[in-house]
Amino acid sequence: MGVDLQEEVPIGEIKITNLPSVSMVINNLSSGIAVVMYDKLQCIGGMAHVLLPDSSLAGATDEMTPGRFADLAIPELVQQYLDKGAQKQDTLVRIVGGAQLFNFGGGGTNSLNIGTRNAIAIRTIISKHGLSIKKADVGGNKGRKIRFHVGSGILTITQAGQPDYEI
Amino acid sequence: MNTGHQVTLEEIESKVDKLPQMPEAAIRLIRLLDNPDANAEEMANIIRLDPDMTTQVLRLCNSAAYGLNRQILTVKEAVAILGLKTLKSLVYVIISKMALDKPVEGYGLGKGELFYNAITCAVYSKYLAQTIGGIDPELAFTAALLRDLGKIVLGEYVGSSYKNIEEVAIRSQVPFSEAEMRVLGINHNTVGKHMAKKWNLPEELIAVIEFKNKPSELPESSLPIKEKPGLYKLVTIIHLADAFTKMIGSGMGNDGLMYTLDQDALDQLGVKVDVEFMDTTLARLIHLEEVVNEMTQSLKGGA
Repeated sequence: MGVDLQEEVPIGEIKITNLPSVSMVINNLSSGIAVVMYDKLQCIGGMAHVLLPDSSLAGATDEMTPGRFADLAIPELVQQYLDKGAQKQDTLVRIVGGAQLFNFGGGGTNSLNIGTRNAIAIRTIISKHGLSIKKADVGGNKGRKIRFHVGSGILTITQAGQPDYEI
Repeated sequence: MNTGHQVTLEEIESKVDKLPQMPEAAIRLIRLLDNPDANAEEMANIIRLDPDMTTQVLRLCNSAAYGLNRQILTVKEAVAILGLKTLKSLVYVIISKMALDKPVEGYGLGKGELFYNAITCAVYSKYLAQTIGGIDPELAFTAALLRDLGKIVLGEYVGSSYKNIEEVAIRSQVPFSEAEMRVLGINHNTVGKHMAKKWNLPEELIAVIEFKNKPSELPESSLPIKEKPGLYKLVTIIHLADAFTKMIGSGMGNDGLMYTLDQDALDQLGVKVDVEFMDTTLARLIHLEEVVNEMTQSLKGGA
């Protein structure tokens, strides 16, 4: 049996692999969102760890890693994933994360909820690329640890105070 | 509902008494750091007598985080080049590492995570103090470091009552620290305050530890504080930095994002927390991750 390789995906990074022994992990997923793409026929996996919905709203500068912003990260993720040989029609897209503080910004408005705004932006951008999100585990007020095993495609989520689950 | 095991202050005090003692050099430095007449030479003399402390000071000031363009070889040089104020904050980083660099199981934190979280919040607090103004950025950095000190002792109790605390926090939409109070009868801020007093930490740091989750309670508090308006601003800046630290997730514990932003305190601070402020600030803060990494990496493997 081969050794399972763990590769951390920090905020702003994009990883693509066709090595079945690789598990992509995020240990501190908070308001950011992990966008996970998987072509099970060819065993190709991709992940982007996005922090913010829109680079121009965030006043991004050239020295800032583009992968931190959904509008720049997702086109790059899709491009690298397809370049590796993955096919859109065989692709499963899942998103995880987007936790937020209670009553953020007061007055019940959700315009400041970065987690929710990230999820909305990501759904729009993904659909512009002819893909759709099949499964999502977003929101809540707790951090998550995630593990995406490329060989099996299993995406495992750990949250405090509950058993691990898969989507 | 089962409200869990109520914890008495006496129980906490006895736990605090049993904590490993701070090294003599750290105790003497804390006393000196709180003295406005402290001079750099006195500080250097204490550091020099402790080989571990000396190594840590030199490693840290030679890290890229301080951006010096020459190698510092002695504590005397460090004092001369960095100046007293920066040396103070650097010494606090080392003291924080001694206090925080351990696993805190009840909050789901592995070794190093609470310290990494502390450095992250300190770096963010310094940035916010620089951009918002009115507070010495170096003070904001230092004051943020030990804000979660109480978690080290309260963790033991939080672990076994976690489900109850989580349920109270989510159901009532109150900060996790408030839910700790309702379930355990005490929270990590109160525990931290007692630890900080025992260690003779300065008044500003004690106020941050106690009020960081609800700064607007500070002006009405009975604390014998010399300059409450400045302190209120300091605590609010750290409250805001703490929220950003939680959103980014560095060294986040099981309490996660179960906290609220204190709108009254932010209004007092004059900060309009809208979409533009949140997104531009988060983008700039995550860009400081490199500084956080340099600081924590430079101290890896040391005392």
